[in-house]
Amino acid sequence: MLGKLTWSAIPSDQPIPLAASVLMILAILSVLAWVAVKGYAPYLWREWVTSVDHKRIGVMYCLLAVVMLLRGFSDAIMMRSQQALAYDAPGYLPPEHYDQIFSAHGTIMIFFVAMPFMIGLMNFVVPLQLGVRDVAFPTFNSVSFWLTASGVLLVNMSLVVGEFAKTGWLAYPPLSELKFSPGVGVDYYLWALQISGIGTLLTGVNFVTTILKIRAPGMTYTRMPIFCWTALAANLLIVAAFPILTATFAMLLLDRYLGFHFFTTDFGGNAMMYINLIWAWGHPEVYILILPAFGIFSEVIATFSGKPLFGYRSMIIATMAICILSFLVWLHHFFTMGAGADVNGFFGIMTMIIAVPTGVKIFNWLFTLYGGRIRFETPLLWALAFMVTFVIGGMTGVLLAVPPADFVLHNSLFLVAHFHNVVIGGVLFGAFAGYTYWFPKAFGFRLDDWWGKAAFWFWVVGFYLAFMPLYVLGLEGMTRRMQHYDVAEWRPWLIAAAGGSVVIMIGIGCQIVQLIVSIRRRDQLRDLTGDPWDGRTLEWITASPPPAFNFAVMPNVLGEEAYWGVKQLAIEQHRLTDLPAYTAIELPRNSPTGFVVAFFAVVTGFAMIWHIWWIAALGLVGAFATFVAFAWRDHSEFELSAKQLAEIDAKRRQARIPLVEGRQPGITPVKYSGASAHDPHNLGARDEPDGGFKGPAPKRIITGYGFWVFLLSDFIMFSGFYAAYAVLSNATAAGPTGLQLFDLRTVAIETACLLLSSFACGMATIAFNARNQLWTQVFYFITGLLGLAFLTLEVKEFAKMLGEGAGPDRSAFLSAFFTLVGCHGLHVTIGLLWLGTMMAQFYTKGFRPDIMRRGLCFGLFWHALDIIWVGIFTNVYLLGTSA
Amino acid sequence: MSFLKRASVTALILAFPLEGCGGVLDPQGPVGVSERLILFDSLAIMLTIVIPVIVATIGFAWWFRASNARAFYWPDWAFSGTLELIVWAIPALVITFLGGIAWFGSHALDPYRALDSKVKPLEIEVVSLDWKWLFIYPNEGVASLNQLVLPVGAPAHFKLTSNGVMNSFFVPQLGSQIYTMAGMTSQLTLQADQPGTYQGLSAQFSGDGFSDMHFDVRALPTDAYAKWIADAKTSGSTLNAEGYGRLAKQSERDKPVTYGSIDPKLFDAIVNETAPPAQGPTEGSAGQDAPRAPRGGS
Repeated sequence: MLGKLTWSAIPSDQPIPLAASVLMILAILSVLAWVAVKGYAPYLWREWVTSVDHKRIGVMYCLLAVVMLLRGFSDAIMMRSQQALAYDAPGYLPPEHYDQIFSAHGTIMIFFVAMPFMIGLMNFVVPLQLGVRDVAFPTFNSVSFWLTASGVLLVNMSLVVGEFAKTGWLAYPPLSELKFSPGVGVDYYLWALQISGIGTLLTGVNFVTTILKIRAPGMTYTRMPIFCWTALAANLLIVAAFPILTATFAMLLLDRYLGFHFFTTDFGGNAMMYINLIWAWGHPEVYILILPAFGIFSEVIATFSGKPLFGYRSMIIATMAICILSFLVWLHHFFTMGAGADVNGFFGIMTMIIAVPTGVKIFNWLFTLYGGRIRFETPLLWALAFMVTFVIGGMTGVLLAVPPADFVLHNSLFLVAHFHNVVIGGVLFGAFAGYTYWFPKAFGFRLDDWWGKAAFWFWVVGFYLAFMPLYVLGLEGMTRRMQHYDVAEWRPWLIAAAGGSVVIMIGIGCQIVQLIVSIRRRDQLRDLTGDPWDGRTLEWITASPPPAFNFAVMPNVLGEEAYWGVKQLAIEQHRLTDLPAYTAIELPRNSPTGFVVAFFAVVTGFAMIWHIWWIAALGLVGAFATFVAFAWRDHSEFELSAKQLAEIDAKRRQARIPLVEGRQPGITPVKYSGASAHDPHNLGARDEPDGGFKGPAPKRIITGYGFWVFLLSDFIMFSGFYAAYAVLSNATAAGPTGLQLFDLRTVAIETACLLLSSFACGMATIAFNARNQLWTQVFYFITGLLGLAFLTLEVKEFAKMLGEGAGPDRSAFLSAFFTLVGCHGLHVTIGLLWLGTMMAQFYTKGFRPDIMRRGLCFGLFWHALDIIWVGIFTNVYLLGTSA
Repeated sequence: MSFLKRASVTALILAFPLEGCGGVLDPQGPVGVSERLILFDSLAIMLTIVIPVIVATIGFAWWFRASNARAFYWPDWAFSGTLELIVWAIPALVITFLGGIAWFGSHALDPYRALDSKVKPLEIEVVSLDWKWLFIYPNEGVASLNQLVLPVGAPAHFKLTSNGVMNSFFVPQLGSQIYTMAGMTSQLTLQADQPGTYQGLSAQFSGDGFSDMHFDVRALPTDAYAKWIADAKTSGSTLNAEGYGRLAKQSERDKPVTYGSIDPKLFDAIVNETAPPAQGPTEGSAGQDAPRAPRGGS
């Protein structure tokens, strides 16, 4: 009934996890009780939980990241104190607990601190900087957030019920295989990351579409703020890299749940393939985190130097170069696998080449500072600390990229010091800079300066104290993940590192105090004009906090630093721009879809972890039903009238009068010598003021484009499975080969069915574009029938193979075959479910634009399945049967 | 190049406190010595650019502070083609240098490459087990658990594998590490030039007993080494399939053991997975891994 779940799953005999669980549950309960007593629940539900506003979602992401930072940091404190104590002694954390702590620390800090922090800031800032009202798919944005939160919840549940992975944060097999990790720890890890990974992937699709297709009129690519460029690069990396992670984890899950042999030590499994695949995701992941941080630093340094970013176009090239190169370096994570000198040398050099655009960035920031009028506000302090710290971390990184140096430093504490040096010094400092910089925009008041600077100094000093000793320890031969040791020379350095972590703890304490103090003193810290830092990009033109629609009228972008030009002109003329003509706008309605889907995702994940199959099935049905219900709703938008807009905007204009009259302290009028705001031609516009970009694309284009991006990621996931198949196609473990198993005649009929169904689907598309109900239904019906025929034949083929003892557990080759072909079959199944609901919608609701957009996406999806199938047919079946 | 030399000296001074600490900066064999040299050279090349950047960051930020009336202000200085050329060229040049080091270094120090030596390499087969190391001397017909004995001045050619979980074989003072992986062999050649006892360890996390998965490397003068082999042959116990089956079970902190006679096909059997495979933990209750095997061992 309840699978593996029994009362003994609760760690009642282990004091530390038990105390932590009780503490966590009490904290959650007290927050819930406080919300209930104060009567905030309806407000929270209405304004936050169901919100599809990118700003609210961004704030929730950041909050999630901060909470998880506390969790991940308590893991860090435990590890540092354990190692300080465990010289020739067991310390206070036994290995089976210590191993969970370092695995959880890495997993949490990367997936649930760094990722949500960066995604949160992108969510909040990107649409504002682009001068638009929301992201491409607001409801999916909410789904993304809540799926991330589901992952967080599952990871934290592992503290209370069961255990977490004891394998390190990347769960290398064979250690993570069922044989060596029979507990639920690895399953918690895998399901938490699969679920949150889907959320991240949707974010990637959403933001790529937003940045490419939805920008204010005149905002050409070379007028986009640099943060938007780095966000674009990061989200392209998400779209390209996360499907690889999904495929890799899916393979490990199949190994663990159904006895497949992708990475096992027997039946032809290949653990090295996991290590390759996981780093094919893992290295781009590093840049998914650091690129937005680079963007934040670029904005911060330019703003507080009172200058435009130096070498803007050079920075764009550098960003995109890093984006591409990040896919060509994964092997440097395992030079010690013995790949051979040429391979190691190549990947060593490729890795170093990434240092070139990164170095260019550092120099351009230097020249941005040069000739500036620098204000040492807290965000700039973080940026300066970043520049100093990051070049050190970058240097040790390039050192590790030299294969012979890596042979002695790999997996040592030198490596641990290096990646903390770049992740804390780069990503986390960037997150803190962004948090301080955009906080007044989000909430309408600044963060307290004194506490912010105190936090800064404790963090920076603590960081150096905690991590420089680890470099020394690595050189002394200390490897990572040791629960105890007996080398006396290591101990003083480990004690110093533990001291450093205490200093960081004080820094975190200061940040908490800062938040409380700032909320209490919010009236003194109020940002009235919406431009507290003398900013340069469009988010500062609107009010703080911005209204739900961001901009009453979409700004007209005439050059780089759109807002700076407008502001200088206004200050020079001592007046605001002319009152615009307001027109009514439509805004997306709030939706509980994200929250409800996430609820079902948690239920499914938890049930899968504990092998409670019936609950898992219920959860999946629930999630699907939620999407159908969402698709079924009739009113997805509400209108804001021109009059309402004018009223709200009048307040903003009123508040900005002191600013343009030069009465606002901190805003310095600057006489532009070269470029002038009067003359758009000097602002970089060539042919026409809008630079050829007319503003956001129509909805049909946006939806189709977004779906294309999604399909691209789906193709990449298939490439993951296909790569596994290619690697394992000869690993038959003395079992049957393709030649003996494949029945080309049946497969040819399957192929014909699928290709014909694609034709029928195309006809249906023509029919619904002609708004012909009968033929739409007829052709969709034929599509469905042919799809069903395909599936039936495939299931029969699978059943026959299983009956002959040639199931996926027979050999690695068969595992890969069943996964690749089965994944396609799963897509067809999903397509049929989708088709059914869409036919019902066309029938009941007629040819509404939103349903027609979905029809367009379905067509793309169904044709893509054809393309994938043709690849499978030729590469798997035809090649597999040609002797 | 005098600047480079000076930077190299700086790097050495920075690293001075580490000399003699038994780490990778105190190598006792040719591989480790070359790797330390590469480490220092690369560090020196990079410091020539990193130190000025750090100084410039702090210097620019301080000089151009808003309150400094003597500093000029160029509010719209945002591009210079010459500077862009220079800022792309500097890192590119540095990387050209370092890329050369990486390419030639990874060929010269390829773990699979034999060392330049007149002495015939000693063959040793290494098996990582949960959580101990087995060293087989196939030509001598002896084996040793959790203790590696090497003759000084002779290259030792290792063939390595794992009977289950992946590990990394690493003796920091001798140089390069390499993974041990089930079902396949990797290779590595190292040499100890000075007699002494060095610490060896696993550098790839492999489970609960990982922290104790270290071993002593005893580098002995040639005659002492010959005596050790002779003693092992006469006094050591036998390692047969049954004995290996016991080793395949999880255990921690096993005392060093020498085996006077071995099954000569054992290593190949482990690689081909015909020897008893790793056992892994026995299934625990309610989703928790089983409690670990008692300390001590076979």
